[in-house]
Amino acid sequence: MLFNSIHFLFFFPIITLLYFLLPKQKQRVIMLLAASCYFYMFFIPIYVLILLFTIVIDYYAGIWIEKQQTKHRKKIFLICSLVANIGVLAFFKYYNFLNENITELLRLSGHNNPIPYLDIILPIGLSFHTFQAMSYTIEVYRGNQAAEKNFFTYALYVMFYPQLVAGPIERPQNILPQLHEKKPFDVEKLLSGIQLIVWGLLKKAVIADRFAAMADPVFNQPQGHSGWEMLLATYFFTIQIYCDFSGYSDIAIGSARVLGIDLMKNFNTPYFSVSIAEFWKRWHISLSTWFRDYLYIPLGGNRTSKIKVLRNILLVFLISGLWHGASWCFVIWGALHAVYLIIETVTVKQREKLWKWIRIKKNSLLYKSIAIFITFNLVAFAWIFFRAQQIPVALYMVKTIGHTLLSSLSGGIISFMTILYTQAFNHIQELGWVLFAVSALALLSEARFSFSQVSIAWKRKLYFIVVLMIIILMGKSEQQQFIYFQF
Amino acid sequence: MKKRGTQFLFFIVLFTLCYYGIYWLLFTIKINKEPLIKNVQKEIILDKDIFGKVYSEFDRTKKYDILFLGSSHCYRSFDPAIFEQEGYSCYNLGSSSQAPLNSFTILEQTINNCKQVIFEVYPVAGNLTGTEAYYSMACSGIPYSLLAPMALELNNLRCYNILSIKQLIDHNNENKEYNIKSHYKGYVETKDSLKQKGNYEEIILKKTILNEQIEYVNKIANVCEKNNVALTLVYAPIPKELKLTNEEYYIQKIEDIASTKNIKFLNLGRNHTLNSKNNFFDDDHLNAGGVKLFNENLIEIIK
Repeated sequence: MLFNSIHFLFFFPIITLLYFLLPKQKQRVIMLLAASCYFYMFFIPIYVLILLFTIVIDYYAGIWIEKQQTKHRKKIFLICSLVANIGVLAFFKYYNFLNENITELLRLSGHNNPIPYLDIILPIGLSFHTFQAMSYTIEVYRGNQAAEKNFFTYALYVMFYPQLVAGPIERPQNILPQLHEKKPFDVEKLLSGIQLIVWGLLKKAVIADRFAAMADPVFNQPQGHSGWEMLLATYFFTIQIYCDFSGYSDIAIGSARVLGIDLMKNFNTPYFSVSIAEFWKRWHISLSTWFRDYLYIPLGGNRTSKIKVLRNILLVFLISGLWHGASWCFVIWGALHAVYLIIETVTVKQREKLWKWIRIKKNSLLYKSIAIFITFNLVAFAWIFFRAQQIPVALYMVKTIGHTLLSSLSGGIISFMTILYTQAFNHIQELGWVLFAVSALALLSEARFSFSQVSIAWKRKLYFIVVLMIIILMGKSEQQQFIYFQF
Repeated sequence: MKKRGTQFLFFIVLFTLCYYGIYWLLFTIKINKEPLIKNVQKEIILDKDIFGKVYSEFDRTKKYDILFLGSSHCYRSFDPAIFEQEGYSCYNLGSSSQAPLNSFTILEQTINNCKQVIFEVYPVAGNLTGTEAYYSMACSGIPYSLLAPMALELNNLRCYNILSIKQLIDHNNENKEYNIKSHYKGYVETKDSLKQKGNYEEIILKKTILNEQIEYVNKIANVCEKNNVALTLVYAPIPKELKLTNEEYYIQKIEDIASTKNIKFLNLGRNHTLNSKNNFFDDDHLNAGGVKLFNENLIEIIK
C-alpha cells in the first residue's frame, strides 16, 4: 500500500482507532501485526512468506544466542541468522546481477554460462527489513538487547507498517521497549504526527512527483536532450530524490507518532551540509548509522592506521552502493562518495590553509555558502549515476554536460551566466513559477522550522489549511511509487 | 473531549470556506484572459469538449438500434448517417481518450436506450487510466449523474477534487465554444487526408494498465449480458505502419473475453485494405472516405 494512495487514507484512521480502542497491549500488537501484513500484502501477497521465514529464524536465533554461555556458541547462531538474512537478500536482489556478470566473464573467455536466469521480482523494501532484522540479532549477540520472548512483538518489530518498506531502519533498543508499553491516547502526538504526515505528503506529491516529471524524460532518453537540459534534470532529480525519500520518512515517523511510537529521525536537511562527511550525518541517517555501527566500527573505524581508515571508508560506501541496488551504477555512486570522503579526509590541513590564505573564516556566511554549494554539486553529480541505471547512459550525460559547460565557459563568464540564466528560466517556466516558488519556500523553511512542532492552536489550523491546499492544488494526481521502495 | 470535537468541527468549516474561497479566487482572477487556476492546477483543462454537447443531445426517451462507445477512434470511425441509410438508428457516445472504464460508466447510464452496443477496442485507449477522459468530461458540462459514478470507479483524489468544484468549472465555461464545431449524432467527420504527419512513432502500452482496463471490457460484457443487449467488439482500422508494443497481448485478452462470453469480435485494426495516405487524416484516425469504406464493410458483416 502506498502512503500517497486513497487506500491509506482509510487504512490509517481505522487502524489508529482500533489501536486505541483495544484495552490490552498484547491485543494492540496482534492487531498492528495483522494490519502490517495487510499493508505489505498490497504489493505481492505471497512475499509475506519470505518475511515470515526470516522472522521465524531471527526470533529463534535471538533466543538461542541469549541462552548460550560461550561467545563461540553465540557466534554460531548469529552467523546462522546472518546467513539466512543475507541469503534471502542475495537470492532475490543479487542472483541475476551476479549471473549477468558471470555470463559476461564467461563470454569473454569464449564459454557459455550454464546457470539459468531467473525471473525474480524483488520483494518490496527487502533491504530495509533485512537490515532491521540483522540489527536485532547483532544487538542480542553483543548483549545490548535482551532476546524478545514474544513472537508477535518481535514480528511487529520487523513488520511495523510505517517503516516496513522504506525505513527508517530501526534498532531494537528503540522499538522493542515501545512495543511492550501501552501508549495512552495523546492528542498532542496525534496532531504533531498528522502535521508531519501532511508535510511528507507535500514533499512527495507536490515537489518530488512534479520535479520527476521534468527529470524523468531526460534520464530515460538523454539522447534527445541538450547538455543544459541534462544539467537541469540532474538538479531536478537531486531535489526529487530528497523530497521523495524524506517525504516518505516524514509520513512513516508521523504515522508511528500518532500511535505513540517514536521512530528515529532519518533526514536533517542534508543539502545544507558543508561537507560530504556532514552530508552523510544528515542523509538517510538510519542507514549511515547502521553501516557505522555494524560495519565501519567493527572494521576498525577511525581508530586504526590511516590507510585502513581509507580502506574502511571505501568498503563501507561500496557496500552501501550495492545495498541500494544490484547494478554497477549504484556501486559507482557509492565509490564516488567514498572518493569524496577520502579526499576530504586526506586534505583537511591543506583546506584549512587554503581558507586562511583567502581570508575566509570558517564560521562566516561566505564560507558556509561556498561549502554548501560545493557539497550540493558533488552530491548532485553522484546522483547522475544513481538515476541513470546504466553506466553508458551516465557517462554520456556526464560527457555532454561537461562539454556544454566548457564550451559555454569559453565565451566568457558573462556569456556563461546569461546562457545559464536563460536555460534555468525556461525550465522553471515549464515546471511552473508558482510550483517552483512553493518548492523553494518549503525546502528553505524546512531548514529553519520543525513543522511538526507547531503547537499553538491558530498556527496549527493555518498550517493545515495552507499545506493541505497546496497538496490539493498542486499535488500530482497519479500515484507515484516512492523511489526507495525498489531497494 | 467536547471542546476538541467543537474545535475539529470549527476547523472543518474553516477549511471548507478556505477551500471554496481559494478556488473562487483562482477562477475569478484572470491573467491574459485566462483564469489563474490554469497556471496552478494543470488537470483542469478548461476547454469544452464536444462530448458535453453530444451527451446532452442523447435522447433518453429513445431506444437506439446501435450505440457506439469508445475513444476518439470511435467518434471518428462510426458514422450514424451511413448506418441510418441501412435502416439502423444509432448514436455515437465515443469521446476523447475514453478508456474502457469510462465507457463502462457511460454504458451503465445508457444501457436502457439501446438494443446493441458496438464497443471500439483501440489498444491505445486500453492504455489509459480513464482520468484523462474524466478531466475532459468534467470541463464539458457533463452532469453529476455520470461524473460521480465515474469518479467512484476511478477512486482518485484528484477526481473527487474536480467533482467538488464542478459548479465553478461549469460557471467558467458557460459561454465557451466547444472544441469541435459540429457533429452528427456524436460522429465527427474529417475530410482531410494524411498530409503533415505520418511519423508513426512507436507507442508503448503498459501491461499493468491494459490489465486494469481489460477488467472493464469484461464488465461491459457483463452489463450487456445482464440487460439482454447485444455486444460487438470492434477494433477499427489503423494505419498498418503504426507500431504498438503489447498490441497482441491486449487483442488476445479481448479475443479471450469474446470467446468466453460468446461475443462477436471484429478485429479489423490491421485486417483491412485501406490506404494509410488516402483513408486516414492523421497517424491513427480515419478520414470521411475511410469511414465510408469501413462502415459499409462493417454493415455487411453485422447484417
